Amino acid sequence: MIGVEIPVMRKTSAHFFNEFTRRHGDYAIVGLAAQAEVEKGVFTDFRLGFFAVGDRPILARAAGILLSRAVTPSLISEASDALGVEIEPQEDQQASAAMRRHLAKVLLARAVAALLGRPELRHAGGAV
Amino acid sequence: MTTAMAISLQVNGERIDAQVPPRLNLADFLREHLHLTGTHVGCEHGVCGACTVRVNGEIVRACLMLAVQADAASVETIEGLSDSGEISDLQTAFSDRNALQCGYCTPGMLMTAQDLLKQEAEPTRERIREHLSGNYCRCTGYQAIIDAVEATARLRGKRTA
Amino acid sequence: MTGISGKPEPLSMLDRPNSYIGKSVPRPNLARLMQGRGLYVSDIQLPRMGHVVFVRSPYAHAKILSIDAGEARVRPGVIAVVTGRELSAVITPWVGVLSHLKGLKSAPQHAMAIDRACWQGEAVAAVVATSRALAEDAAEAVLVEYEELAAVTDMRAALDPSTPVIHPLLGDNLAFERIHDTGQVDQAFADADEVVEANFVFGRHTGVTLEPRAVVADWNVAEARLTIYQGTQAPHMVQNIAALHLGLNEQQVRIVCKDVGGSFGIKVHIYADEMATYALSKLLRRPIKFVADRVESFNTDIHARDHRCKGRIGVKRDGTVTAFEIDDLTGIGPYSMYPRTSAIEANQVVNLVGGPYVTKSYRARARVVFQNKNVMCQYRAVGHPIACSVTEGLIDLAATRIGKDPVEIRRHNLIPDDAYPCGSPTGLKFERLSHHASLEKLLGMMDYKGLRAEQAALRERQVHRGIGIASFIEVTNPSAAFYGVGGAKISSQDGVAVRLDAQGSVICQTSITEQGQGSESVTAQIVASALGVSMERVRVILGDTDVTPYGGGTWASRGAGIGGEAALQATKSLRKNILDVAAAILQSSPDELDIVDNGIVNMADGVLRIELKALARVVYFRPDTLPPGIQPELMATRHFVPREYPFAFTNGVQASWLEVDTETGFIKLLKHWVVEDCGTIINPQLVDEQIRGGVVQGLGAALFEKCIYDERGQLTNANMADYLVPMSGEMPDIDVGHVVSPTLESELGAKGAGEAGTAGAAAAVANAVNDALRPFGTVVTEIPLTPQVILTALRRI
Repeated sequence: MIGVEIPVMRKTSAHFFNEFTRRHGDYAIVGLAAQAEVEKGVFTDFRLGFFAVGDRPILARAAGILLSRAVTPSLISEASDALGVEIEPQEDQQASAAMRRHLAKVLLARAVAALLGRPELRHAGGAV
Repeated sequence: MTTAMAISLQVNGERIDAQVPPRLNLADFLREHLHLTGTHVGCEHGVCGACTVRVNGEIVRACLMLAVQADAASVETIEGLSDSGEISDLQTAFSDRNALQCGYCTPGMLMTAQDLLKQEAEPTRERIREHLSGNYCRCTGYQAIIDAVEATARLRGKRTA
Repeated sequence: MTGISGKPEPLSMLDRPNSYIGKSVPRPNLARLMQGRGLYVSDIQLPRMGHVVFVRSPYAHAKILSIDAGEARVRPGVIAVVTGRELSAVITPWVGVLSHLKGLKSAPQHAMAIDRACWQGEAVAAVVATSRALAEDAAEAVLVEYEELAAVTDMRAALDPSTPVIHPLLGDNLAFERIHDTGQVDQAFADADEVVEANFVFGRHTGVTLEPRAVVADWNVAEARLTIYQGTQAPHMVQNIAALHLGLNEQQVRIVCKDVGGSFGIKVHIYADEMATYALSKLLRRPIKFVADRVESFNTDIHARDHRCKGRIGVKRDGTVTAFEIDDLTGIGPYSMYPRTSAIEANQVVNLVGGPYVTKSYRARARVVFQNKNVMCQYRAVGHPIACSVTEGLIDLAATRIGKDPVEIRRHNLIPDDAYPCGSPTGLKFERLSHHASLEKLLGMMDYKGLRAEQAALRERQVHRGIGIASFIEVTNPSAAFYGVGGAKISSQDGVAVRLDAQGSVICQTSITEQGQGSESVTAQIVASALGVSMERVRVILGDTDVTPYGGGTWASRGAGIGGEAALQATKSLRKNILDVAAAILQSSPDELDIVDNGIVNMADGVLRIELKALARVVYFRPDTLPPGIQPELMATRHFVPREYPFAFTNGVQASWLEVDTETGFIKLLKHWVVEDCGTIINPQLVDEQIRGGVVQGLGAALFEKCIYDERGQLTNANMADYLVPMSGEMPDIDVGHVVSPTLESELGAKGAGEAGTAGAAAAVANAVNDALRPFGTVVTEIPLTPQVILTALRRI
């Protein structure tokens, strides 16, 4: 690596961060750092950085499903399914792989709802 | 490397010169070499907070730091903070509210609480709970400690107002 | 507060002027703890002290074929390496049984394993060196050859014929079984309109005292005396046992307890590695220090509460509970703990299920089985959390089944407040409890109706909050019925000696002990109040078998009730002695005088006649000025033991208000309430703080804590990152209220309160979670209630 370029935030930029921990300060069971550009209720850029969903953080390809389209509960569902296939969460004493996969989907829906300012989308995507 | 290394540091304002094994952690150095036993060892893996001290003004877990890493540093322990009077109001509040029972977590709690009060003038109970969330107490259930820190913050606010 | 019977007095001892009884005075002598100048065992350094590190079995069950210590012995700083066999020449083995637990059997346990290690972490050899670090280095060079054996790690299979028997001479893996059957239970279930069953599972957990176990044993061969510095709750018990197994007389052994970094029952037991430390000191003729590190603590501090309990309740449509039934299974370690036994917890569960209720029909079976896991024994609230969680869980299930509010069903079945004295189906004797008054007070404190309305409103927005209630009874102030009758040399009485010193200060020696609950303060408050002096003049000495009266110590919530009464009676006696002397000096009569505010005053008008310090000066230095024939006695000792009631039962009720995120399974504790009736309260703040601390331990059990063993008997989460203890960020505020029903068995009227918080907290949380999840039709009867458990119950994963 010879350089890192960080784009400057624009008026349309939005970000989301959340992680699930049993207690303050514990390592995350699952976490998500998301960065988006939102124009007229549509994602013109959308990047999902999941952590604790595998042996390393990943930039989820499933974000692409939500790009440049009207976001509906069934679209979130589609992205959620794709995410579920994309990640290979590990099992430990805090959570099974299935639980991590489930929590990742919950975070996806919550991120979309927060970034678009549409709280009703929180429960979309098969995470209900 | 097992040969002793020379370190020179300040502990509670006193200059200390010592020869220490590289693997010796700061908590053990304070307790066994300097006989400052107020810094307690609870887990030796950085989770319980009983070993909290101040190094160059910042709180650290002394069990996660090697003594050799404290070379040329200024270390303050609970004994130092007590003798200087820096936390006497906090200690009074702890006593009044029985925010300590067995006393084992107390030095670490006081160090961490003072760290919060230096940063924030009027922390909410939630903020206090969050800042102390890395200090384990098995006796009090935490509420009295939160009460004592909150009360101290209020009193300090009145004094500076 | 007038808990006295019989003779009238101008004022009861508890209502005297300037009484500290009932006052939340700060504890004396906290300064040293807050300055980091306490003296915990790990702080102690003695000349020529060696440090011991134990080589511990990595296997849950293995033959020890050979131990080669040749290389280790020549490592730098090593003083000695000692095997179990070598140490057995110095210290005899023990068996953890008591005769009143009929049928309890266990095998002899050695200070260090000799032929066979029976749990992962059992010590097989000891390395003593000039520092702990050097001992640890050398321990790595000790070569132990093991032959791994099949391990018993599932309590459900422990009694199967195909499961190996850990101690063949015992015949099977059943340590103890208790059966109880009263009140025509089958008929009672037949009479019920509904019968509900549930399987309750409790995660094994442990105390996690912040100060790990630590001992300094100092055998002085010239004096032929062994001094043991240990944070034990029962110093005279340790004295007795150390002497017995080391071939010494009791007076050759001195136990000294300085500051203790938390105990909660963990430090009331006899541990093999601590006995090994005493023996090593005797063998090596120098002080030896053992400090468990955190991993060792997890592996060897007693565990507790590993139970699987089937519960059944019969209920009529009008809400009457007709019967309780349980079948409880608990898996302990390979040995019953010494000397209090690992059967007491199960015994308590049988005794206490259904305790708050009028239901007379009750059947119970409890089985205690050996496993190749760490040893298990009494930990704060012993058995109460299990009994309360099962009872209160069944009550809520019954309420749901018949469509009754959880408060209503309790009102219908709790023993009426005017029914006392009365007894339980298991033979417990209740002097006077206040279940109904406590429940009403709780409902007021929490605004039950308001919370129900809030719950309903939030449900419409898919926010699921729950209310859980748990009533309970608690064993305190135990008599000899607990241990003594079974042959244990554990005293159920305590003594206090008080004296007035030459400058008017009051020195008080008590046989109860301090681990932070406030024993010192409570004693000083009673003495100061009963005598008429200010608390600053009272110095309390405790935790030293050379210096204090003989007693039981502080455990089973007995310190204030028993030790406090001894303090009161001793002080009354001293007061009388002082007034006798004062009367002689002042040419008055004792009943015309009183002691108030550090001085002798006229009872009639309160005028000061002579300061206590002046009286003391006369007694100690100028007895020539006293009237002839007088022999002043400015010291008095009294002991107290409960005689009428085997236990002083207390009662309480708790409530939890929480929110379950049904998408993630995470639980947020919003608030917690406790109403506790522990009789006379000497220091309200200390009692409330005991309750809060106890509640949080119960909350830890409800949500976080579990010792996770794999099928090979390996404890897989023996550290503080993986074994989750409650921290401040997740705990709620806890409101505490009281009802007061003093015991008439003592003048003080104080019962115990130390364990009440832990007894009912997990039950309240479990009931609240099930209340929150009611719309989903799920019921969870397993703790800890982790997100994984919740999501699985909701079938989201």
